[in-house]
Amino acid sequence: MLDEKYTIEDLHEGLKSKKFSAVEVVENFLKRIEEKDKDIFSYLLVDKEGALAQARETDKRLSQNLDFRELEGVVMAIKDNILVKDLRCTAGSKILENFIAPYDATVIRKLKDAGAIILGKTNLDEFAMGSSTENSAFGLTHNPYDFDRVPGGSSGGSAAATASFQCLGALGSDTGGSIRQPASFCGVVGLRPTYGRVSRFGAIAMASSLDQIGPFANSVFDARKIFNVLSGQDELDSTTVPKNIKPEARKKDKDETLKIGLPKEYFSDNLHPQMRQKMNKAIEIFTKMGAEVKEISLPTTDVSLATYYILVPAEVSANLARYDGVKYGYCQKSENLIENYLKTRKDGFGKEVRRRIFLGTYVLSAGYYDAYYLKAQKVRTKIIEDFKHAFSEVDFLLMPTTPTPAFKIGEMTKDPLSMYLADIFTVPTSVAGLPAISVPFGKVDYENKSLPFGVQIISRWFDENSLLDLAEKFEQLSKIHPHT
Amino acid sequence: MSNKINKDEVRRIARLSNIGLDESEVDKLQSEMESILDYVGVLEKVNTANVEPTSYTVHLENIVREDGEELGPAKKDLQNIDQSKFLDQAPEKREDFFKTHSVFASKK
Repeated sequence: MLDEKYTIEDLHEGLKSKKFSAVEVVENFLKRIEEKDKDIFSYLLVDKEGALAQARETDKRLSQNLDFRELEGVVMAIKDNILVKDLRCTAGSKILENFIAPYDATVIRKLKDAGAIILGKTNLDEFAMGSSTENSAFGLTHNPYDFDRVPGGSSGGSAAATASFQCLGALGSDTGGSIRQPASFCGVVGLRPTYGRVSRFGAIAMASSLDQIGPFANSVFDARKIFNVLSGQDELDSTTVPKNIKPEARKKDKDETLKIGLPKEYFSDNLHPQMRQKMNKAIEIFTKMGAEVKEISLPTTDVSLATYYILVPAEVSANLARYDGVKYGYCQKSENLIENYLKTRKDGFGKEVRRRIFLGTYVLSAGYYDAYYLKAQKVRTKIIEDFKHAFSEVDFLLMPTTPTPAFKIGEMTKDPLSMYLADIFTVPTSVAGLPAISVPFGKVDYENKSLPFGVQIISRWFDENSLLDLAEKFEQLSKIHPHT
Repeated sequence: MSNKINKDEVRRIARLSNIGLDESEVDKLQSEMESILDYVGVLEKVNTANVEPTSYTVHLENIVREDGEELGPAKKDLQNIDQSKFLDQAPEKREDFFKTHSVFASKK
């Protein structure tokens, strides 16, 4: 009844025409999870009962001819750093292995109000720190296209679940690329909205000045549908902006040609030749659209990752101070309070989390604050200015989402710095707070494998609408012009 | 700025972070931190004279509410959550309180 490769639109058509019920949809997906997830491990928790109860509610509404809501019956997976009331929420960490969410995150409340059905919680790098989902305390997720490879991270579970049709859409969080990079590795659409667009209330904080929640989906259309439900101002997150905020107007020339910039720094030796070749094909499609594609420069690109790896650990060290073994979560009882903290946090946190707390504590400590943290905040201003300058010349920026396709499990775990470099194409936009999307564009030959390839498009602040329009056009045209 | 960090500093940072550290971990952590600090050291070369620091990429101002003003629906919902949903998750509690060791040790 419900084969793979169908979209929210197909689901809605089926529900409306009574081809199937919401309960049948949920049962179908639960069965698929049972079959597929033993090899992929995208879910940390499947809420069978909860999902079926929500589905019965949907069927009841449909039988009473109540409003057909925006995401009626849409089965979704949620990254396990976002609170869903009464479900365990671990953030992929031993320190929260038994934590039960007392309330819904704002985004979850919005999804539920829109009729979405939550199937379960997905695997992630511990506290969203990582680029491969290998840092989870509960095991690793496999890339659906090659089980020996990572799905990317940190939202690897959500990306893998969406790619293997174990859900119709999913939520992830993106601090430095944690939605776009796994979307690219798994061949699905992933959107990082502008900072301030979506409420983070009820999302477990990693780096508060960068964290943003966004959707995974199998089409741009579906991603937009979910994004529209998520976005908007929230009294519980003071960084959110009113929904009707206007993006800076696109610069219109007399000819009104769409202008797309290729930042030359992204097309350097960092980029694998096969990726470069594939990217050229994508550029052809934008040219076919009538866009003027030209090289531009973002001179701060090469210092963006360094800036990020000062700002993020600093914010991490502050945000994760709350895990003290007193109020909730894992506790290693000891003879006094200090020992309690030391042992609880030593055993409760994994290696990467500890490393970032140490680094953050260091860069914020007396004598180093100005040299590292304040300096990074100033460079951040320069990075933003760089993007502003670019957007005075072009309307969108274009590049591959990642320098290579999905890497092998274990390939990057020995050297933390090499793992950090996996995010080098997604981090600069995060630092600037810009919206960006990764759109799948067929496969690329790499290490004798055929692996998903993602194109990243970046727009002006709060211009998700134009961004999604362009992404949708690209998606449609890439279907007409075969490229694999 | 030198990006060297000595072993005592590593121990001090761990202590400031309230995270226990085994002596056997010090060497490895020292070299990992040094290589990361080395990498982020490239920022030294960026000219940031007269550049203002950025904390948030959206403009933020303090939001204050009038005394006595009604809470919004989302905040009200939160206020109505049963206390036990939080308290029952504490590793240790007594009556309606979290229980832990005293902060100040008694003089011996």
